[in-house]
Amino acid sequence: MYVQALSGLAGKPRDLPASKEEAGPPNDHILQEWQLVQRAQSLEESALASLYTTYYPRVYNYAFLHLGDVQAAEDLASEVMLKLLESIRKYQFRGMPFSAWVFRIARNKLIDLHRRRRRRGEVDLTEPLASMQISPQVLAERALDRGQIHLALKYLTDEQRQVIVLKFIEGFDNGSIARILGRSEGAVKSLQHRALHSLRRIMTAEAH
Amino acid sequence: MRSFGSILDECLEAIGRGEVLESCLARYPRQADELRAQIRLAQRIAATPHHPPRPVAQAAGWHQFQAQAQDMRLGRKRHVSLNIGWLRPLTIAAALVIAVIGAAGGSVYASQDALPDSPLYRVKLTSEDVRVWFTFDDSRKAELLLDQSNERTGEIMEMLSRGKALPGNVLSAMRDRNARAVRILEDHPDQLDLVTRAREQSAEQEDLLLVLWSDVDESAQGDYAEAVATLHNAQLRTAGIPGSVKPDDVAAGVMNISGSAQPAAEGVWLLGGVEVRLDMRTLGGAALQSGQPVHVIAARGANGRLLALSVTTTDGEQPEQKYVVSGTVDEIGDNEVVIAGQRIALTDKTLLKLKLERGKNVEIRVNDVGGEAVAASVERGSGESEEAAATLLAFEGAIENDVSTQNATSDWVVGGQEFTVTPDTEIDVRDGTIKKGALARVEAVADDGEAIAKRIIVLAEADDESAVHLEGVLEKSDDESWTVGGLEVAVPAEAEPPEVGSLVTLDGHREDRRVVAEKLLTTHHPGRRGFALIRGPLYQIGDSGVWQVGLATVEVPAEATIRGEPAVGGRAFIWASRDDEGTLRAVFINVLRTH
Repeated sequence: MYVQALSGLAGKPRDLPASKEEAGPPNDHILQEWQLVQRAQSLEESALASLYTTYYPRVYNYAFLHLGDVQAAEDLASEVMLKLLESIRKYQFRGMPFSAWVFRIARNKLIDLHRRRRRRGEVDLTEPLASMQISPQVLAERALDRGQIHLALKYLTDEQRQVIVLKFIEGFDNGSIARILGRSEGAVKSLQHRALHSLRRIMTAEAH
Repeated sequence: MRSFGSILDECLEAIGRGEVLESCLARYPRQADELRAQIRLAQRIAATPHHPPRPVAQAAGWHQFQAQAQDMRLGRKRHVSLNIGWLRPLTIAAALVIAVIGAAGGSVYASQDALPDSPLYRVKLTSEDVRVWFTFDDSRKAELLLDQSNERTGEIMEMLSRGKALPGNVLSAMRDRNARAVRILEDHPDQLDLVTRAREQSAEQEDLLLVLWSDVDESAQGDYAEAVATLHNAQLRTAGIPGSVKPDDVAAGVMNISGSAQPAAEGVWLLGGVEVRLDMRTLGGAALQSGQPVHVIAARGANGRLLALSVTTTDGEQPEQKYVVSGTVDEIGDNEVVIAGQRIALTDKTLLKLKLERGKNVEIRVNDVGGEAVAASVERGSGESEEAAATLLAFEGAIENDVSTQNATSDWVVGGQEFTVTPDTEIDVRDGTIKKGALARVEAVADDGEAIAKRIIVLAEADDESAVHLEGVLEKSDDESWTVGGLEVAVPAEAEPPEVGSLVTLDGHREDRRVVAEKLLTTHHPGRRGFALIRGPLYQIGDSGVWQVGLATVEVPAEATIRGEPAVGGRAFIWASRDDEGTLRAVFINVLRTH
């Protein structure tokens, strides 16, 4: 069952999101997923496997972009999937895509992890060292060139990073992002603009 | 005019639907350059390939997921979810041991998020020990033990935020790991970073425990005393200071006392008449001068004697950097809470003694950290939600009995009323000496018919030993008496009782044990939002009627009643209510004399 579901995992390059995770009137994709979720709520194995193979890689990627650490991202993805399973019977379709609900769990788990780390006094080893002689603009540019977007995103605030990842990497629309982050759509647009502006400024600063 | 953010979003959406970039730019020629740059950057980000997970990790997660689903189908309790992250080597080591002895498969794994009240907590501690056994380098072992000791801090904070009493196991585990780390480091004084960490971490942990006496399970008070003594001694030993505190020195809890220090005998000082031992073991007490204003945290020994664990000198010229806000929670953000219209930052150092929820009545101790209001602790307020401060009583009168500070709890009779003083009661003797006949202000909460003192401020010699002053909320009334903050008060027959829930402040005198009101100062109902209370140093008295207490701002309208003489640097206690716009307006202000 799991191997079958894995076969559908092949990644594909993305264009700018065409609102594939739209809120508003439910489209076919959302309705199909709702049917799948209903089967998963009955703990039907094929439905669970399908959700797992769809969401584990997405949540892992989301976690990796925020944490920059493979093991921490794997642990977080597993935690999110277990939480998803534990809570899935409580999910009710009210126009919000299931994926937004999953990413809201992921966001909360990420916040919990940051709190635990702060409490333990852990140091983020992926943070660029102050003594490094390479400027942020060079690092960000190099990171984007190499597809290491998580390094470029380190120069953004947490919320700006969330919006960039959810919008341009995960393809959510503003309404869903607003639900995931607990912010208004206006705030999401503004964060999107500020994030792109900051990244651009960092990367072009050296040219001026 | 539309914002750039909105135009950018429109173009991104349009391009996502298939429109070409130039067509959108043509609609916004003035913004075209910036739009082009940001959209291209967004396209570049969107073109970044996904970072795929390692198949082995995904498959391992699937097995766990599947096992949990199976448990759910069978109606079994779920597996505890786990973040193994930094515990990965530990998990491997523990798994090896368990595989060898063939026992309790899965217990170690499931125990990693266990809290001290869980049956799995013992497994968690054992698995930590296993990790220490498998570590052969002394420095690494000391570091690991400090990590494990720090983990106990997190568990304590978590227990408190869930409103649970602290059992002895977490305290003894903290003590044990700390002591082992310090013993190792004593053989490696060259490990300066670790030695410094051990000292600083022990100081933070001791500070935490010193405010938790009342949160410790009664059966765990011995573990508490041992933990405080060990953490204190860890600081002494890593600083090369001889001497040690014994658990017996802390057997009857702690005492917080502020006042002017006067030497009494070799190693013994008086603070407002209270005898406290200050010696080599007292941190921060080396250069203490006679007459210096200080704040002392003292351990109370089994014999009732007080030993100062730490002394902080407070410059009398500077206002205090702390204040307290009580009221209902308006809003909760990721790193802040809004209470009584005041925005207060929450940090990982904030001691949360409850789960924060909107509408809950809380008391927050706030520090002024470089002009930012930062919560030091958040605990349950003195009333239920929507009835803020309903059971709080502020009472002033003469101390009428021979007060002793020897026991963990004692009864003080002030103005004819009996108050129970506990290790949590703050004692402020900056303006007077604790003795029979001194005027004292007691802030108390009614608990099961008993008035528990939260704070006692000794003000001065009482001019009139029968005079009393009272501030509290009206609970009920009949023709002859009103019940205010749990206290029955005789009122003049012509006095019209206000609505239940109103603030009542009055001056009067005592007749035997009865309070007889002579002058009603204030009666005011706060409406559905309840009262907010603010107490702390007066930073500013603005001409426009806005006062600043600590960093909290309060509007003081002309009709507010002010008792005492307002002066910057003085200590104020303010009862305030909020209007529909959320503005905090003072109803009654008591300004205590400046020390």
